[in-house]
Amino acid sequence: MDDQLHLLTGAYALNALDDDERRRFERALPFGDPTAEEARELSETAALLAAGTTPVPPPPALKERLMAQIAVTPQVGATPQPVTPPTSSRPVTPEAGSAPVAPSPLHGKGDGASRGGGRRRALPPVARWLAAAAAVLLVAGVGTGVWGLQAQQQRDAALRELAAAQTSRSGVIDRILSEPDAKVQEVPAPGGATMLIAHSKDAQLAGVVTIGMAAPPAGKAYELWLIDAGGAAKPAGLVAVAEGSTWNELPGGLDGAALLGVTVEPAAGSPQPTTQPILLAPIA
Amino acid sequence: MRRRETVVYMPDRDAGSVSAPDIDELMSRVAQGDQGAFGALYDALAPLVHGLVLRVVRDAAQSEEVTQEVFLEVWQQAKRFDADRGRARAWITVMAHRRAVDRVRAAQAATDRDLREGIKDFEESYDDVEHQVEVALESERVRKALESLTDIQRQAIRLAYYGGYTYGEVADALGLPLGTVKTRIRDGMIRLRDVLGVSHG
Repeated sequence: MDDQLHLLTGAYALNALDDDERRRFERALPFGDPTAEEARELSETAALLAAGTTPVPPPPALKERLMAQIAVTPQVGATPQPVTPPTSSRPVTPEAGSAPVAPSPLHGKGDGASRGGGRRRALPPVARWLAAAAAVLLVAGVGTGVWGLQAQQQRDAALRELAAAQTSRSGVIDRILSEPDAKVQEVPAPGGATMLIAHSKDAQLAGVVTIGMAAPPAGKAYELWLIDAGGAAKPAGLVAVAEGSTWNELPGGLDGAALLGVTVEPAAGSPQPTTQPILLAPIA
Repeated sequence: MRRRETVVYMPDRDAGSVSAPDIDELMSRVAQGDQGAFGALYDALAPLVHGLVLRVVRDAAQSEEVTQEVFLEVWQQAKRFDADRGRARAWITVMAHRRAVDRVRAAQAATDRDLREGIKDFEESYDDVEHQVEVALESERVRKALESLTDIQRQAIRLAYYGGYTYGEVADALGLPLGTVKTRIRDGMIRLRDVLGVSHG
């Protein structure tokens, strides 16, 4: 089907591929392929087709609901602060008609109130992690169209860059990628950055690449966590953010983790997460 | 000078829509957590988004849910949107379309609706929309561009984009081979790209 791939750019741009086909299409496009460029242009063209519909203002109640909802909904990539773990009442999924009630500790960051340094809590159970993930990862399903392709190109470029520059690292990347069960998961990270989780369960190898992550706040570090199905988090290394991309090998692989998370911690890292995750990715 | 006699929902500049710099400006503020800017961004884009969602999803209650999801996501992901300056509107539109299509396909799977019936409904609702008088300039530009296509190209693109059908379903509906629909859609989109002057690179 590969020689036919370029014929699908139009259908791709119109969201007229079914899920499987779309995934295959995105995966099959080689880096820098003219077909990817065409798909991008046609996606932008498709966006203009929206103007071919008659604008319809939604009912005013919708705006009221939304304004109430955003007032208590954290933004991804907002300056992370120590907070209590997400609770089950946190409005993480858009539910029409259920206006959230409790004000979120993530907001009102201009209020000058002390954040109660050192407030630590036990790790929330996995359901709460997942609830947070639902909000954090909403965009994951949207990594399509123009941006999906760009991210894929970035990914290829970053992997090549790493492979070329870092022999020891590329050794692991190459080993992962050469495994028959190798997977590379792409996860949107705050601030438009991208995280790639490369792993092979069979070979018990895994590594995390970040591309374009902003430096953490002064005196802080990003810490990786492997979270099991019971909600227990195991430290998985600090991400050394510099220009461009980073690489962390996860010794022993993913070790059956259900989620990979990132929190902002003191520079030396923490034995357990002390802040709400800025990123949570279910492991495929 | 005559004042506008129709209600124009989208704040109407020369281009018939909110200009990209204004949207960008709002998006930057939203990315800083500015709720007022979010309200303004919503006012500027909600009619466009909701109109599109309603067109694809058709059910009013479900469309409201989808529109709400889309804007909640705009809020949550504002930093990410803001990073791609000049494209915020396109991004939001692409996301809204994708969400609408997902919703309509989920509903389709749930009810196993008859495809031909669905397409018939779709064509009828399209006619209703056609008859509404008030058309923003940009919308007219898009309609003109669509008119420059061959009948099959136009039908296929309309069914796919506004109807949320896969190209396989479009092929069934039009009684054409899959390969034909694939190429007609692509040829038509390339023509639209050229007519609408979508910038390269």
